[in-house]
Amino acid sequence: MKSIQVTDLTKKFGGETILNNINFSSRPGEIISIIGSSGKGKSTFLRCLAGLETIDSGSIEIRGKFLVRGGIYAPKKEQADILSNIGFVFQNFNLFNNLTVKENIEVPLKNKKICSKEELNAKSQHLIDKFKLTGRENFYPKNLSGGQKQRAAIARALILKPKILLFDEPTSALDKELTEEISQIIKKLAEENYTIIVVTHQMEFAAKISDVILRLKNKNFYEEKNSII
Amino acid sequence: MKCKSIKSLLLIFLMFLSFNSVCFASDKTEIVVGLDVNLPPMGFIDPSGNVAGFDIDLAKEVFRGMNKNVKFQPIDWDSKELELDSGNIDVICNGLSKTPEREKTMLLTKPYMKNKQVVITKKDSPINTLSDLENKNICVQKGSTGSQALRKHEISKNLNSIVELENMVECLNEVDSKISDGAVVDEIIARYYLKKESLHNKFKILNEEISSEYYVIAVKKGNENLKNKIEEQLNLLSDNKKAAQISEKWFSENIFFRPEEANIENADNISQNKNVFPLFINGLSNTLVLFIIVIIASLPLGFLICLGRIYGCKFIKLSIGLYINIMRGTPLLLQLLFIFYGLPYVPFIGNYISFKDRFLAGTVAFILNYAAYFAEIFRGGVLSVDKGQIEACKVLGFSKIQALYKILIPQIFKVVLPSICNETVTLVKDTSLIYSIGVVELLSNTKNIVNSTANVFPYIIAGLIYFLACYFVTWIFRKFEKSISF
Repeated sequence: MKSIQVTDLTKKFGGETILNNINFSSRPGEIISIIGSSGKGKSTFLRCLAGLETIDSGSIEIRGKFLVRGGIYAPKKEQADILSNIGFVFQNFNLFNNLTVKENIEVPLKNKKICSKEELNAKSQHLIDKFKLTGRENFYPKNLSGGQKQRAAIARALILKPKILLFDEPTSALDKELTEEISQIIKKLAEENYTIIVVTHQMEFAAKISDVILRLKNKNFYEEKNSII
Repeated sequence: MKCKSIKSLLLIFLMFLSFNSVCFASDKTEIVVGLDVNLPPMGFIDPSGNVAGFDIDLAKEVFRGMNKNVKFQPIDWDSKELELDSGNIDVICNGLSKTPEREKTMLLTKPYMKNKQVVITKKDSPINTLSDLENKNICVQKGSTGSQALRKHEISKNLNSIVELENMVECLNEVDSKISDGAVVDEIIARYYLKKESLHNKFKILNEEISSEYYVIAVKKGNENLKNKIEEQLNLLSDNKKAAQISEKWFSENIFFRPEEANIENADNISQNKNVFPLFINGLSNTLVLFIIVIIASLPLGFLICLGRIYGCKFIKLSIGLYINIMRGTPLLLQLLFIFYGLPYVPFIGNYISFKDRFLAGTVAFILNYAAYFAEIFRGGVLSVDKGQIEACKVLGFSKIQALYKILIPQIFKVVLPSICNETVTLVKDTSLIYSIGVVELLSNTKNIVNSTANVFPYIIAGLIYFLACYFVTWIFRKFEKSISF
């Protein structure tokens, strides 16, 4: 089954077309990178998938359910349900400034009021360990390094158990060593059968992690040959 | 050490005060006469802008006889004792009634005229005798003989309320707009005013009097020389009929009498409660209650208004913008006066929204004013929150309420805290403005105490209370700020 199926997606900003009749699909366990020069709409595409931007026409189908069909969005409640499949890691992480690392990771699940305190604690502790944040649980975002912020943001995105992870420029704030680290994390997540879509302007990074590389050019996607694979 | 330096500061202050009062006026060639210019026919500003009145003409004659130039200085009637004591004025000659308190704080001449304190009501009012005043609302001029006489009179126990206003004209306005059922005024002044303004068909004066009294001229305590000279002149003016002429000019009859012949045994003895502590506490409690209600109500209201301004529809945004501009663009004092005195006169709205209770009206005005300021502070806070925080809430499936409570409000709170602290400190001091609609509070009661005792020490106490209150508010906010660790 395809995890994401996009057909004829068109997005305009104030009359100017940014994305024109885009078709796109992805499968679980697949890593797709979208590259291209900045300001061309890579991030916009990702934001459309996450429901942060509304598209003008076309369809987005996520795990068999239509978020948008022929330019018409599903009812609000259904949208929320469909979008719960998607985890989003922002370029500048957008960790909640007023919450500690642990609180940041827990708050989305806590909001749902579906699990006990102990369960919540166990789940967040698992993610804290997995993403090497032990000892930083009670730090506020302002006291974290770039890499720690990145890992906390990923942990937060995973607490709701999405099937699809969207990364917007994950390496832009990281040095070479940390870029290597995030590459490993992303690859590992793909092995756990997450669908992963990464927007980046770093060709080298894209080549290293991706199964498919798409270049955004002239408002549409073109597949790039991956020279490393 | 601290205590010592405060003591020495006080000492310097008191020395300065006493130094001011060393020289007496009788040697000067110019005499400054203090007057309340809202007291026709005794003293007022005539249509051409000059001071005029019976007492003005009398004072001119008295000091002409003494070969002195006269300057008339309008003063705040409440502060007449202080004005005299500090040497700003030399003489008070302006319908000043003789009372035991005034005899203690000023040097008074023998009387030259008799006056009564009477109750004035609307012509169609059911009040005809003093006993009809039961459960009614009565207003008086602040610090006036009428005010003291009323409180001394047994009827005061059965009244619903006594409100002190700035001047007699304000009292009459209140009676006219039925905010008060009656006013206690000086008969001479009231009769002259009704005649001049042709208000006889609007008001009536009850036959029974609250008290009677004698008009005297006051000089600074200790200045016997000036007092004797003035009495000498008054007798002279009585002998040469000049005083009678002046009286006839203003009252159409001669009601002036020779001070030497004054028989004042029958005059009512009006005395005031000497224990000022309850007055002080009463003012302080009003100030505190006002402050607490305003801060509790205006903060959430301000936040709602701010949300309306940012997220509301166009109409709401425009209305809120207009409201905020009006609240910030006009004086709080004006808003207070308008909400209490002005609203009943606004066509249509006045029939539905007007306040009978002064304190309530004042509180509403304060809340509306402060909510506008707080709304703008909150708006700054909301705009300062990074858009990414809201997007993160969205992708993580927060409801709008959850995003507001858990993420936005704590972050806004942190940003706005210093500005809110600033406004709150301002509010502590602004509460004193509510005196303008006749509500007693810390500062106005302090002023009353200062005026009745001619001692400025209560001002220092009041200042200290305000200072400590502001300090406490600042301290609380500092604690808050420190408790925010993110």
